[in-house]
Amino acid sequence: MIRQPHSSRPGGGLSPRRVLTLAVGGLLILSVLPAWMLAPIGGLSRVAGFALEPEQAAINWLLRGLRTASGGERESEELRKAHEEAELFKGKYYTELTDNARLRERISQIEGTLALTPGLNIEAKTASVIGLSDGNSRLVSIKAGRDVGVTAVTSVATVRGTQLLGRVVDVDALSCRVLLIDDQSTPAFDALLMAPISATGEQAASGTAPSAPFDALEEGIACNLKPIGNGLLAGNVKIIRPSERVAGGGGTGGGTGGSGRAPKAAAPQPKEQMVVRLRDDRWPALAQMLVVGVVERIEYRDLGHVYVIVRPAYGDLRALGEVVLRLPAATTNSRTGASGGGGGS
Amino acid sequence: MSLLPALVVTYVLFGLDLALRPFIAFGNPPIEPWRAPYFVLPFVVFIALNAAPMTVLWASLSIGLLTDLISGTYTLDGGLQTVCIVGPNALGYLAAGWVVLTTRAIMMRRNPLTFIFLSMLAAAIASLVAVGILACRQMIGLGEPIRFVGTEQLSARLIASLLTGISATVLLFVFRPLTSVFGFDEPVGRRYSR
Repeated sequence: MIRQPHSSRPGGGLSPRRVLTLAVGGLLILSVLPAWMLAPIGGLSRVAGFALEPEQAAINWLLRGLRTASGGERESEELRKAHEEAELFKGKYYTELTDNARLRERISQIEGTLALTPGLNIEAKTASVIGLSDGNSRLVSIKAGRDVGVTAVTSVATVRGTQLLGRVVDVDALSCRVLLIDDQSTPAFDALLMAPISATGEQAASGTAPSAPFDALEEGIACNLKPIGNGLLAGNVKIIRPSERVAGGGGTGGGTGGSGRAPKAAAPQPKEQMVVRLRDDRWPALAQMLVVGVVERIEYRDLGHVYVIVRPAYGDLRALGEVVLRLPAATTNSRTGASGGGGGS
Repeated sequence: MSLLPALVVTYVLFGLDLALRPFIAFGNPPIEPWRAPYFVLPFVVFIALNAAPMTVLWASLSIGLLTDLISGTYTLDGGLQTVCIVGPNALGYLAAGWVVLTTRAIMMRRNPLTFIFLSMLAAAIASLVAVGILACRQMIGLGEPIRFVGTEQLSARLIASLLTGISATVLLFVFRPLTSVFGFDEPVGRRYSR
C-alpha cells in the first residue's frame, strides 16, 4: 500500500487512513454478528433497494419485451387465458372437495372449517415483479407491500393465481420478498398428489389411479415434500388406503408392499405428471390446494418406500412479469382500519 | 475525483447488475447462484486504475458496502426470515481495489487488456474474500446460520469473475470516453507506469 508520511494529524484527529482502518474493523465485526443484531441494517437495505427499483423494473420490462418479441413466448393469448381459467376452476373444485371432506369428518368444528373455505374474503392482488434477488438468497422482489395489505408469512405469491410461487417472508411499505417453495430454506410441507382431470371431469385413466377425483382425496396420496436443490422438491409418499382410513381414521401406510399386508387393488398409486397440491396446516388457509408442481419422477426404494420428485410449474422466473398475491382478509380489515385512523405506517 | 458522475455511473451499473444479470446468467437463477458477469466491479477497477490511492480505497469500500446493502440478503437456514449481512462484499471490494492499486504501477494502464485482466482478477479476489468471510461467519456460529454453501458460492462467483472479462470489454468502451468527466486527480505518467 502507498505510504503517507503522516498517518494521524498532529491534533490527534482522525486521518482518512485511520478512519478506513476503523471502518474495516467495524465491517469485520458486523459481518459475523447474529441476525437479530443486524435487523436495523435491513431498513438501510430496503432504502437502497427502493432507490434502485425504478431502474431495475425498467430494465426488466425492456428485457421481457425483447424476449417476447424474439419469440420466447409464442403461446396464443386465447389459449393461455383458457388454460388459466381451467386451472382456476380446478383449484376451486379441489378446494370444495377438501372442505366437503373436512365438514363430514369434523362437523363439530364448522367454524374452524369455514376458515378454510373459498367463500371467505381472501384478497387477491396482482403485483409486478421488481426482480430476482441475488443468487445467494433466492428471493423474488414484488412491487406490493404493506400499502396493499401484504403481511409476512401469512401472505403467499402465486403465478396466475393457481401455481404457488412461495411465501412472503419480508415486507416493507411498498415491496415484499417471496421465498420460493423450492428454496432449501423452506421447511418441509405436506401435499397431495392428484391425477390430472380431463375435460370431461374425469381423472386421466391411469391404471391404478382412482377413478374419480373425489377418491383421490378420500383415499389420499399424500406426501411430505422438502426442497432438495436444483429447483426440485422430493419426499416420501404416504398412501392412505380406504381400509386404513375406516379402521384408523387416517393411519399411514408403509408403502407399496413393505408392510407385509397385501395391497388392495384399488389403492392409489403415484404416477408421473400427477399434479401436486399443497395441503399443510402449517401454511395459511389461503394457500391450501394451490398447485405446488408436477411429479417428475418416482423412485421405489427399500422397505417399500415410494419417493417422488416434484418440479414446481412456475416456469422460467426471468420471464415472470407479474404475480398474484393472496392476502388474508384479516389483514385487509386491519389495514382499512389503520388507514381510516390515519396511522398506517 | 468528481463525486456526481461517479454516483450516476454507480447507480446505472447497480441497476444493470440487478436486472440484467439474471437474464444473461447460466443455469436457472434464482434456483442456482448466478453465473453472470459483474458490472459494478469493472467500475471499481476503472477507479483503481486512475484515481488517487485514498480515493480508490474509499470508493472500493463504499461500492462494496452498497453491494452488501443491495444484494447481501440471505435467508436464515430452516426459517422464514431474512438478514442483510454487511461486510463481506465491502471488504472484498476493498481488497480488490487495493490489489489493483498496488499492481497498477507495473501495468500498462492504457492497454485494454490490462483493464480486462484486472477486472477478472479483482472479481476473483472480491469473491474469495466475501465467501471467506461468510464461511468464517458460519464457522463462528453466532446466532442462526444462514443458508450458505461455500463451495457452491465460490464456484459460481469464480465463474462469474471469468465472465466479468466480457462485461469489462463492453464497459471499457463506455468508461474510456468518460475519463475526463470523472476528473481523476492522479497523474498517470509516473515512474513505471506506461
